Amino acid sequence: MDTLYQLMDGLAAALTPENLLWAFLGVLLGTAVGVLPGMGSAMAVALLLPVTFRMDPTGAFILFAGVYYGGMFGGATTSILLNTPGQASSIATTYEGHKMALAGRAAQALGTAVIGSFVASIIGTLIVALFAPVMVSFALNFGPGEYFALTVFSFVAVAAVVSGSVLRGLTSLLIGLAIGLIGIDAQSGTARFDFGSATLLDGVDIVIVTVGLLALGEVLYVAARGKSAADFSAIRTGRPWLSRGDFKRSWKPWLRGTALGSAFGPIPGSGAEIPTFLSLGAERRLAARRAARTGEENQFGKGAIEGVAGPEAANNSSAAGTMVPLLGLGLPTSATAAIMLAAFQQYGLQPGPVLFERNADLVWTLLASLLIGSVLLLVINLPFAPLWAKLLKLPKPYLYAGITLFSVLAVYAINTSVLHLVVLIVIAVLGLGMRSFGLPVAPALIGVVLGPIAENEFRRALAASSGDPAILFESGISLGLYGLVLVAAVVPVLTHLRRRRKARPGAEHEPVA
Amino acid sequence: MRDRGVLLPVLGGACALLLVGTALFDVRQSAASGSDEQEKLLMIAPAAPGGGWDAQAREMQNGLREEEMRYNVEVRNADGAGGTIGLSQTANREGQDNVLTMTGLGMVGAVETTGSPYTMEDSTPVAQVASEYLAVVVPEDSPHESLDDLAEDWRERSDTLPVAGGSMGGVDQIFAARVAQAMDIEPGGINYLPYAGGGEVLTSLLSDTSEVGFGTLGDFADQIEDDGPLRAIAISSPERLEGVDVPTIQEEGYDLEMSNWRGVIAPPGLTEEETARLEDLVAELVTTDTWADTLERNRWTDTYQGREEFEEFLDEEIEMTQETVEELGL
Repeated sequence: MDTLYQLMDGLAAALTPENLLWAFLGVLLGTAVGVLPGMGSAMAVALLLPVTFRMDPTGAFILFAGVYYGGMFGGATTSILLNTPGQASSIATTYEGHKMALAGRAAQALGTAVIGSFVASIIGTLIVALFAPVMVSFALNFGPGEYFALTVFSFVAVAAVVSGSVLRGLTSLLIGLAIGLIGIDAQSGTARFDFGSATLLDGVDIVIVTVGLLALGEVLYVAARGKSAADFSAIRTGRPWLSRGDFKRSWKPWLRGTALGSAFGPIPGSGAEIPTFLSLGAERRLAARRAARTGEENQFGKGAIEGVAGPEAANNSSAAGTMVPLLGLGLPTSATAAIMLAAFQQYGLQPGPVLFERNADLVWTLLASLLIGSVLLLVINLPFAPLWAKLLKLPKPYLYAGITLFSVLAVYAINTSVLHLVVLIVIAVLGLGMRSFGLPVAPALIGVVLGPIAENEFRRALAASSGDPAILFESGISLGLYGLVLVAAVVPVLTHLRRRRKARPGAEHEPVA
Repeated sequence: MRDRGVLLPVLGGACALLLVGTALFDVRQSAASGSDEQEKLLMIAPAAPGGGWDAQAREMQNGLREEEMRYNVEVRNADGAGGTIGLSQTANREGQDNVLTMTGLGMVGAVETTGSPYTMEDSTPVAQVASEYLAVVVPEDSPHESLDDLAEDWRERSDTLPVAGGSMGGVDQIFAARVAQAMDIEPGGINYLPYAGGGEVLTSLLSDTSEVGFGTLGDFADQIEDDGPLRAIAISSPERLEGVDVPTIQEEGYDLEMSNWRGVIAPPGLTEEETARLEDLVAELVTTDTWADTLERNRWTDTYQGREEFEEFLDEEIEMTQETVEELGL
């Protein structure tokens, strides 16, 4: 109860008109940079840092919290409407979100994303406030062996995203893994597939891959098909608000996504992407099971609201989760968090195990400011959802020209490098080719995100143990994760067999030719 | 009814656009004409936002503004390949006298390890502005109390004892190699686990993945305090640092002194006069109160060197780095 009182004190300190104005500005700015692909919240916070040198700490924290949460949500807007995720943590949202938009349910997708983000931020922040010390010690149990187990688990969990042909899914995954190999090998320092170019030494930025494969690839594909392509302007936007049914289908994914994000957000290095993929995979499986049980239609692949609600809740609660190592250890787990750490230090705050005792008032103010940020996120963005959705009403040539412009601009903005644009076009053509041959692009993106993490952790584990593979199975966490992998891999096979057995008696009635 | 429903969001949207527009205008403001305070200055940070060189550039930008020396300073991030992308962008701006690029030991190392077509020769050294010292740290419960303890253990199992630090070829690895060398251990044979940043090195130590960490003091400063989870056993400064109760490496009987220095360079092909102007600007900045505050906040040590001194220093650093990189076999 004591913690709750302290949080209330923090809220009282943070709730001034001036601070609300900062929160408003932060959320607005965060949403704006989140919408522009390539401009992450890290960039916005870095630009704002000098401004905050003159502000009082509370105001600065509230501004940052607003930008951070706003950025997480802004990324979802473009994922849903334009199939172009603004940052890696909203890739998972594109799969069902964009399909919803194509089905005329863009406003509902945005609505469930906003409310999901809100619910997840509130719950995630409260969890941080109540359990930060416990979570820190859990997160520290993660060595390279456990990380590797986590990535294996993620690969299996997101295999659910691969629908249709297994061969095509695997081909796409391998393309993604191959792209992920480009650049300096972190473990040995050897340059791989750099074609002698210094720009490629750091690998291909995830923004270039997503923008190239999803956005520009789609533009090329639509252009290639000419008049036969789907026409967005014919889409009826329908009722702009969430119906009762939408709510009923969303609230459980919100909570599940929040749980996943809160669990994995505090683990340094796992980032916000893994929980979003896990959430998408979980919702998809649950939907399939529900469809099998009740006979109602499984909407996954056609725009299921659960597939937006879950991942969007997951990325916001993992954003709250990154506060755990940041406050508890002084350990930034994202670029944005790293800059916020610099801001803490400028106010004489020393994140670390003793922070909660030494600067209790400021910590509680910070956590309270996260709460305020999430309330404003809801207030500002919910009314915008129907307006954003109207974007799709633009005539196709203008819309696609706009997407192309923004894609190119986003990639150029990363590093003002012309070579990045060349890479972008190569990947866009690859995306066109993959679409033409019916290869899904989703597994490729998963390969690019998870592949390098898996490789590095695997090799790091073996280096730490001097080559003894036992390190991979040493801890309870790894064994638990591998157990889940087994379950996830075996259960579908069993159900498949059972279904075949059931189907067999029916086959006898078929005429034998 | 319908109209009002649209009006509010439209108004909001207009406000947002206005806001972003103003921000962009502020950054892009072009006032190339006019002298001194209004003159445009471009700072290239060869690192991503949140990185060390980014912090240096933004601190310098802030200092120049606060002290009313330059208002029109733009920081541009050119991250990649250990800083050599930023170096190549600098080299390609031959003759431009309003560009300052952040540099440091990391860039010198990266030039050697990435096979960059541009070297430090393709730039005009301006000044060294600050330094951070490096620390050898172990978890609180580690059996290693001093460098001697570590040396004994490390000599015995140099190829297995996992030590952690920043990326391959970076400052941390060069530091680890030199410490090993000072202990008569083959630097190429140590089991060095590279991580993406100081934060990850910290987790590696705390999760018992690695036993010893090498990195800049600032990366560990919060954790090595009284009841922190880490312990520093040596620091690379020439003398003990004020407020840091850690013996220097030399004090413990090993011949090594090293710093992660930060400096600024300008594009090649500048006249004597142009270079002197840039040098004066930096020289003035480092004497201000704002800069003193910057040093304290970031735990940097003032190691300002003017152009001539810095050029000499740079040559020595390049030579030493080349030797270390060769021994590491990178």
